[in-house]
Amino acid sequence: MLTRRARTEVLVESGPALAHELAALVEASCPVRVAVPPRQGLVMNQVRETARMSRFYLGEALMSECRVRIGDAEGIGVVLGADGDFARSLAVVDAAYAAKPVPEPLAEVDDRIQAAGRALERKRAAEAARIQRSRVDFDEMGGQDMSVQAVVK
Amino acid sequence: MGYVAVSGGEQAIAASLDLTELKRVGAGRSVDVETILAALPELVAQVESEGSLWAPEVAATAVKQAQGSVEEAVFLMRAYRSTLERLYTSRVIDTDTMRVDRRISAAFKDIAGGQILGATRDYSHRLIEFELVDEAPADVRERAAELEHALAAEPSADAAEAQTHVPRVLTYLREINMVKAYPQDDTEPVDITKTPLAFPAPRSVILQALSRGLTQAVIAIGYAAIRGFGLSHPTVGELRRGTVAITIDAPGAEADATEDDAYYLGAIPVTEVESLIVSDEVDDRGNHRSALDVGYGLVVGNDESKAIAMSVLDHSLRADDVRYPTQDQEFVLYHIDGVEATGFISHLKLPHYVTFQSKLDSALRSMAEEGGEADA
Repeated sequence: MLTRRARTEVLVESGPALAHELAALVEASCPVRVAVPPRQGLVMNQVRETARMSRFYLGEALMSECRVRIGDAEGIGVVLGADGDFARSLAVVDAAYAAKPVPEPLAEVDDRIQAAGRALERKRAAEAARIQRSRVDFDEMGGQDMSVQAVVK
Repeated sequence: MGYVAVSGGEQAIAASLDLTELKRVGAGRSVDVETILAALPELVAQVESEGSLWAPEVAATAVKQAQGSVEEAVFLMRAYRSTLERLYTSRVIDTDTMRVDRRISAAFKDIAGGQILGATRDYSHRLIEFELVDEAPADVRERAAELEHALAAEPSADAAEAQTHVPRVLTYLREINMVKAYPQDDTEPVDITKTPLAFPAPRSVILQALSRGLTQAVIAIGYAAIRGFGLSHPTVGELRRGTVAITIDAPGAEADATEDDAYYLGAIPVTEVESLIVSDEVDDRGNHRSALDVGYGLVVGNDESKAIAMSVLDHSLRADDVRYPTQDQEFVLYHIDGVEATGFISHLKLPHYVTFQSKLDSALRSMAEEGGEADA
């Protein structure tokens, strides 16, 4: 199974439709209780700068959050932007992974997330290849060696 | 002299607000928020950067409401932000993991990972394209299809992987001891949205204030620092642009919780600059030598000029030497915030009847006294 970090990245980057479908699968198999209804709030983004390796706050981002329960297991849905329904579906899927006993459709849910992950990788591979078209090929220019290693010698 | 309460302006103010709204709708044309997002992404990003709030739809709505005034849209964003609860603080973002879509170095031609130009206007002719006047949505779609075809390339998983593992120029310079290496500093940052500015300001305050500063002010003061009103003349060691992931730990997680257990919320675009600046360094024996110091810039959005200027000012403000205004923390940090600056300037339009009357009385008395002395 994917880690939570990888799983939530695939779900968020795949857009709300997938999360809604998977949440519907889970909710058809077990009762889901909303613990904290969808709400909007802020996440403060902290960064490590590379000059002195210290931390600072870059600024906030709008986010949506929802928390649900399947039995005693809590699921949290968090996503940038104002989409409470998306956050709710993410929370349902998250709770399904934490629930004991495991909800019956979890294997299918996980398979579909992994498939979406592969689709996301293909999309990113296509975008990366397009960006690489703008990589400068200095070999064609010849002349003096201006690599970092040569220059600092 | 006492204050005199007056009334009677309510109707005029209501009419003034209606006139403002009529300016927005009077031409009978409207632009939807999705169009603003698609067509004016850099304007939206500037509003988010200065508003210190990443929220594209909200920023685009603010731009629409403000009729394109960045100053007003930023004010609206800051006001909106103040109505929301801060639910989380992110895990510390490591920009080494940035999904890079552009990275260049002005210091070295040949760098590990390569110079990737990405989307940039640096090499464009600055000529107005008048054919855009008649551009229709169908034309846009057709042009997009043409460009996607022209830029088509075999998908590369290696390239995608490399996008998030771009080697830094700085890392190499540190390995060969050309740039001083620093240990990781986990001092808790100070948040300027919760703590008033005090001087000398900690590094976290300087960087936060610069990053959310008024774009043109950061650029102008950064330019002044280079031009002779400061001592920082940078070479852009590396400029990289891309997106960084925002993640949070699960509520109640241990302090040493791993990234694997984190929640991913999304990614935001940023521009990062590491400027190399020749500086005087004093060793343990008191000997002076020239060394390369690093100025750091990181801004939300794609504004490279702002990120470069921020890196200049980061270096400049470390000196905190008031001989140069660009090295004076109070001068730069107090005046660089858009809402602070425009708010104060704007308030000058509000009624100052009593204070001005006082100034006038004083001037009149002075004139009368001078006249009396002349007569004597």
